[in-house]
Amino acid sequence: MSTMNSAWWKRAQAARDQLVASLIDHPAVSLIDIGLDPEQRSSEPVIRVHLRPSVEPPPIPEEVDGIDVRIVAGAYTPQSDVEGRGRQRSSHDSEER
Amino acid sequence: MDNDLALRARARLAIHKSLWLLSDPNVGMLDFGFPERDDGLCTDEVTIRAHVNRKYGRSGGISLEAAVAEGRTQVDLSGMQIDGFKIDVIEGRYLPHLWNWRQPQQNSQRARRLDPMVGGISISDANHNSYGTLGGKVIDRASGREMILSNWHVLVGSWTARPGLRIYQPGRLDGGTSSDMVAELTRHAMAAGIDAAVATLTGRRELINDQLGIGPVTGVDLAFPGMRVTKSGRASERTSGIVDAVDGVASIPYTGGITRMIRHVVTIVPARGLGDVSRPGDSGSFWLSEGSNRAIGLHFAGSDLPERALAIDMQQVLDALGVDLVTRAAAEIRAAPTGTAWPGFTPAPPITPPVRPAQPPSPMRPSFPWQSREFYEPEPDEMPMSTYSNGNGRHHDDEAYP
Repeated sequence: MSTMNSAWWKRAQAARDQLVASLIDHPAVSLIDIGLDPEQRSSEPVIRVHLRPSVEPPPIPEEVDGIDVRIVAGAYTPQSDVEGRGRQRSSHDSEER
Repeated sequence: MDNDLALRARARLAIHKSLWLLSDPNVGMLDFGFPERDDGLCTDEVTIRAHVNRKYGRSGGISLEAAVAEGRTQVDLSGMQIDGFKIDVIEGRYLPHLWNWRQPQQNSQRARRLDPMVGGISISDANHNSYGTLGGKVIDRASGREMILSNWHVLVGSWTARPGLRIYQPGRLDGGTSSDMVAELTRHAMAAGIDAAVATLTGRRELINDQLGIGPVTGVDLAFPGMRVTKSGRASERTSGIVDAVDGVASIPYTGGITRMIRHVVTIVPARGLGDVSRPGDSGSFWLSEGSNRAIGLHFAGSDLPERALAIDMQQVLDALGVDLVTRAAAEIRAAPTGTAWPGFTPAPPITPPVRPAQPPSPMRPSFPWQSREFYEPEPDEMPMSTYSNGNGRHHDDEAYP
């Protein structure tokens, strides 16, 4: 099992930068980071591409330079509160249908 | 259902692949669990469960064909499978637990005018009817002036705002007015892809180094996946989480329909997989490493489904803005030798220094906790381009990473 040393992080950051260059401007992509495997298949960190739901995603490679890539659902917005949104808390996050 | 991690991982992936179902007007929620039968939960199997407003096709009810024709639904869920999981259809309609926004939250201490001010309370600029969180106290590296650190979208919020913009505590949405002005906007770092800004205190009210409900900030640290963290925010107050990822680059929609790339993003998830980690109004909060209270990130964004918080690496924030965190408690400062209000600083003539460019990401990272621990010693040519002081005279490059 490899250790997360400087060389590994440099390689992961370079791989992340490759994906950022090709994917970050796609409307489906909200975030690309390096972290825990959401599928828990890897004991090493992976590159995660966060995709906004309901938007057709671009092709995502399974690995870049030996670093595994995973897809994660996520759509993020700034969290100041305008007109009391933060005071409401729904039991689930979808709107009433 | 036993806690089979592999099964849960497969289920999470299957739910992700099922998210498109939420665009159906009849589908309100997706989850993973025991299917429902007439006599209760069927505990000998697990399924993806689609919670719908109404089941169509039951005897005496509206047929599925009619429902589709009327636009009530678009998808026949019966018999559907995703990644080997059956989809069970459950009738359940969920409504927001609405609060009148004029009610109890405004009685929260965090929503009120506080003197002295602390981190974790309401703040806004004068132009927006909103609130975010006053993150904490910083010192301008050039002038020694005392400042508030929070987000750009909390203290500025407009692409045309200029230095001198008035800052209110509490924020306007919590009733702040011109009489609550405590600071003036000085500069921000959005041009460097960092949603952060600082405002110089006017001196009307003191700001002390204290995070409401936590205690004083003791320094700055580098986040790593698995790190346990905590924060004090205006909306969700004190919450805890675990760093899920680092070195993120995010594409975030801001006011005016403008999307900006934000760098050095740290992702945080709830500590026990449940509950809030953040809420609208928490922007500007300081994420601290639990136990040591060293700042690791400045909160700026989040999501509810799934529940995640996004922060910007704190050292990158400080370097981009040209400031240092105050890490001494108020009592220590008051007990300092007389002569200067801030020992060690000789205030220069007031200037507004340019925003420093953001430093490249540091390659130094500790090993992950679940691996055999091997202390990483950086090569001399890998030292960060800037060192920094945590306010106690020590520099970052003197500290060993665990």
